[in-house]
Amino acid sequence: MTRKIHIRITIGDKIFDLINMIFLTFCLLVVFLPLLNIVSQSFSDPPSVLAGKVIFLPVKPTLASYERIISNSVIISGFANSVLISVLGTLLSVSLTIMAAYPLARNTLVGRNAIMWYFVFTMLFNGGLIPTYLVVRSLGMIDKYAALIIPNALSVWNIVIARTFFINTIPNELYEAATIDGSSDIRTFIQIALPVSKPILAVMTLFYAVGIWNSYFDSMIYLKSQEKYPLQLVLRNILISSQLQSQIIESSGGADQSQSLAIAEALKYAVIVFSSLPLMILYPFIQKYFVQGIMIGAIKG
Amino acid sequence: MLSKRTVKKSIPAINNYNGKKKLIAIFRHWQLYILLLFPVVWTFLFRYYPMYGVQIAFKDFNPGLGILQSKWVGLKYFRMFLTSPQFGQLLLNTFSISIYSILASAPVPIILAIALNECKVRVFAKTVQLVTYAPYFISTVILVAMVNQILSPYGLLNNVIKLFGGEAVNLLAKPKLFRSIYVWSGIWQGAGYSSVIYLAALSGIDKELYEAARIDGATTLQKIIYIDLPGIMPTFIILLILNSASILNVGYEKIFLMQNPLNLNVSEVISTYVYKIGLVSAQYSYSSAIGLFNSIVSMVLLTVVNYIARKTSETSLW
Amino acid sequence: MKKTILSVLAALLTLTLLLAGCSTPGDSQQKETTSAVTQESQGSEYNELGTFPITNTRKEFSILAPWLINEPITENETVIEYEKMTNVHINWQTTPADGWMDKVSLIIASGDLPDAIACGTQFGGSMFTQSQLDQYGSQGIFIPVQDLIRDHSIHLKSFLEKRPDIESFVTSLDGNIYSFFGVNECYHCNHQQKAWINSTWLKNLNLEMPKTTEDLKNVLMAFKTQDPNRNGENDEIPMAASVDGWRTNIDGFLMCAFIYTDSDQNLVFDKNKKIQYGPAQNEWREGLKYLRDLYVNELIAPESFTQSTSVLAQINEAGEEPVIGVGFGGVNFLCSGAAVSDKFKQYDALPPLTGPNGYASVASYNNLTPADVGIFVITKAAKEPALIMRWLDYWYSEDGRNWLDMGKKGRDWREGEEGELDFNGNPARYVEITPHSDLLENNIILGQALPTITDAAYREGKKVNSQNWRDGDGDGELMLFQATKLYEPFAFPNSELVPTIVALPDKITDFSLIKTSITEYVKQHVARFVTGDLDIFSDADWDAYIKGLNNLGLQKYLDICQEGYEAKYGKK
Repeated sequence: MTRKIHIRITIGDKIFDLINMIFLTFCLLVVFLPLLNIVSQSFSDPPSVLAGKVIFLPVKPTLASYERIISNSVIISGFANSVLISVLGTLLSVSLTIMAAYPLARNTLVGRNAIMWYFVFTMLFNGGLIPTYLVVRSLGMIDKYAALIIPNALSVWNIVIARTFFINTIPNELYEAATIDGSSDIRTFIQIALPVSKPILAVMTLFYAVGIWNSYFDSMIYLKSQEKYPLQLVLRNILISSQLQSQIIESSGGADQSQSLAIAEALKYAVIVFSSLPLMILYPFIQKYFVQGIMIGAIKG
Repeated sequence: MLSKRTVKKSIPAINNYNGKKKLIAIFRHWQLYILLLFPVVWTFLFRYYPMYGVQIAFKDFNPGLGILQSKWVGLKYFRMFLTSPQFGQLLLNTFSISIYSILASAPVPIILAIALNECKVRVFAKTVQLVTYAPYFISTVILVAMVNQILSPYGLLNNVIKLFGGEAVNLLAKPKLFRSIYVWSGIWQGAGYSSVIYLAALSGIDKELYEAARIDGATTLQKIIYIDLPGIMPTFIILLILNSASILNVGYEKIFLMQNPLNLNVSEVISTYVYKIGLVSAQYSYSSAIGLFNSIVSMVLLTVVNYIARKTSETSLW
Repeated sequence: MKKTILSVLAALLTLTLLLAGCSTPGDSQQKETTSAVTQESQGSEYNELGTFPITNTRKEFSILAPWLINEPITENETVIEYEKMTNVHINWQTTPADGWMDKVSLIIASGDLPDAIACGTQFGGSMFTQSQLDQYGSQGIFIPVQDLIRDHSIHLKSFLEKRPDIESFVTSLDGNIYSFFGVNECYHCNHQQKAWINSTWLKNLNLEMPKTTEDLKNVLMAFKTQDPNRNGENDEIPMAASVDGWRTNIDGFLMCAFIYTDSDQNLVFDKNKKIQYGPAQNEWREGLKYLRDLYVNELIAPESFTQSTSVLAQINEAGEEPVIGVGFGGVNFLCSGAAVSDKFKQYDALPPLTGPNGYASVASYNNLTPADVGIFVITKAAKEPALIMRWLDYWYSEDGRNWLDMGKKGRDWREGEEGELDFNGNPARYVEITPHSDLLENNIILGQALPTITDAAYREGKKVNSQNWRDGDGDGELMLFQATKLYEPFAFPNSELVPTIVALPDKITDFSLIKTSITEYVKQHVARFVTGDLDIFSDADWDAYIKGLNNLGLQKYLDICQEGYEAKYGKK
């Protein structure tokens, strides 16, 4: 479409690239090294973890901490439950968010400010745990998966961010042009807004998926059946259980106190790595949507 | 010479309509309201309806009696909080930690996002992205344990200092550094995750602008200043406005883990105060009153910041 | 693409409408007051008291309990076998231990009460406090059980007949008993505010175990200068504390040589039997002066006020030899134990010191709290409270207790044989075969989840492998037991100690608020005075400290404590 233009690459640009690389390398190291420590601790033998001997590489490498986690029969159901509610929940949440953000981004929406206030107000004031629990209860959602997805499906924060994205990426002329062409609002949404909103959809998906995957409070409050426990709750139980063990044994001073103390300590690290692994794997798939190259101009044509 | 081309923001044209035109607009765009129906209903059910629980702040709440049956006491608990000896200190600490945090952590994700965006080696950029995104998942307990270990007189920091011939220093014992340690460890943990928003915003910038810039012979720096920054400025402002609404919501867990007897006068915030009281006995009404107080202050702040944003830029919440 | 979106929208709309169409949410609290449980004999449906099965027709009731093991409680061996034994089926409502009290409040608020609630700490629960019992009891949510005990129990009844002090302790001010208590006499917990000293170092330097505060200072000086760990390096830290462990604070143990303190209530009686606050007294100031003196002489590690307990242990365990001389805690936190190294064997408990005025004391924790209340409650939803009483009573018997704690006789434990000794050097009554942790992990026992009587006699009757705790891998429990024996002589009689204060219902908020503030205030000022941030020798600074305490409402707090004390124990 355009012929290749030879752009002068100035020395200033080369220096910039160099500084940029140094900066990014610095960021990489500063973040990576402590993370390496955490991963190494999870693969080290517990007494070494307790003694603080692990720095960057595993000491007396072992899978003991991970075995402790996996040996729990509920891990698999926990994992499956988390995948289920994360997928369903993210779908629901992203849909609801976009359904609010898109109209709010349109300047043809009468009452826009009032509706904005309607949502934002809920970010400031909330009735507390007890009334919310009672609402969930009267909707019959106690001890159901629905309770983990629906009561916290919508985050006003995300609505605002998505709306900002729409406003800044899609100029009004596009909407006006589409309306003149006879397109309805929903069709405009599908044909114009949606294709260019891949980055914001990716961000919403990521934020909601991470939020749901990491959440445990709702399941703690609303669930009764162990088979429905999501992964985070299962892992927390394992952690608390091992800590309680070491405390109980501590107050009885038993000979295996030291061992259980070490196990509880090392377990913390393995739990972190284990539970974040899926989210780390998810990220590269989302990454590719943050790509430059949305040709708004092309759509104009 | 680069012309400052920015994407036109939507101007609230609706405000200029008169009543009849507004009615026509509503009918014309009825589909938008259908779309809005779902989030609005959801919000009513799960956010507005439970708001009756706000009454707890005005009652001597007792779970056994329920919200409606508990005795009404009016402003008793508000008065209790506002006249308590710690009130001023708590407010000050909470505010200063929050403001420090907001100001310090605002530019970092932006710098990171732009740096990543400009990195010519895509594989490296993606790796850095992935790695900086990871600390977000570390639990607060482990984060604080790491901070303690690194900063302890026998820890990594002091080992490095001693290597260079210096004297060991106990940073954890200096109350003045508490805020900094809290904020910068938080930035370490969250900057990568937050930069995602800016990466998305950068992706949304019209490619034509970049093309024009190249043709005009702009340097990378100029490109950043005249295209990238203005492109993400609305996102930045919106986030700033949103953050101002949660200024009093400094979470208790991390601060509680980082507290020690020497830093208590700067580290005691509203949430840790409420938490500690709850350990002695559950104080539903008192903590609810404090929560309501926080909400009111947040609302005022939000309105003010939004107003300022509206007057000084084209971006605001409403 | 368009079709998919439309169908998704339709689905969401339907879903929302369905949910919205359900019965309107409401604050469903039962408003009628429940009639008190009638005491008419329900015995006709039950077999003779104390025999099994409890009833011939299968019955059931529900219990809400915290649960941590990842296998369901319904597969717990004790639960399964007891059901067969009693012919009573339990509908367990388990909830994650996380946020246990929040969950319980929600359940109470929503009116979805189970028949009974079991809060034992075994699986992460926390017991109801006396205040909560009083509150919920007076509202009828928990029913009074004293009549049930009298009419439908054997073991619990006979226990209470032997221990009228416990009966009066667990009775609320309105004369009712609203919960079932447990007795868990952790002997060493009675004097848990301990100090630990490296006795190998004492031997190396030919020093005696310090008996006075002056002795301690001299010993610490020697530790600092004479290389007691014999490694040629001046790396010794004479004394160190940490901030986040069990009784690891630096002031608790040492202050007891000046004034009684338990690092908790810190209440003492003055000569008029009026309650006073320890940290506001001049003796507290004297104690702080002593600590300051130690600090100035570099005998206290400055990090004692900032470091975490785990880091403390890591520092001590790092080298070949330990580097810390004296530490504090309910157990010896200076070492990580057998799994890491043998260093813990170098330490012994340091008995309470006598101060410059000849005063010595030790904090007592158990004596004044002879039982733990709020472990098991029966709610107003229970249709057959007598059945629940009969079901529960067995656990108060010896057999029940043994089963709860040690598992099956013969397989998991056995009786002591010739030559096997217990903690006191007497013939051992019980020998554990399966380790306690295995029993818990494998979902075999219920442990402290249910109320029972694990008193001192029982715990001390268990076998120890050697009377010398240092043998083998080290017997921590024996060490603690013997250490506590050294502390006991210093304890004051109960009549001289202020019991755990329960504030009257309308004063609880003030009580909690003020207690929290003054505790934090004192903690902060101990650190500031000892590190020199404030001058303990300056009257101005001390007066400012006292003024600050008073501003926080100290007098009001003391009045509430006095009131609560006299209500329960009467004016003396």
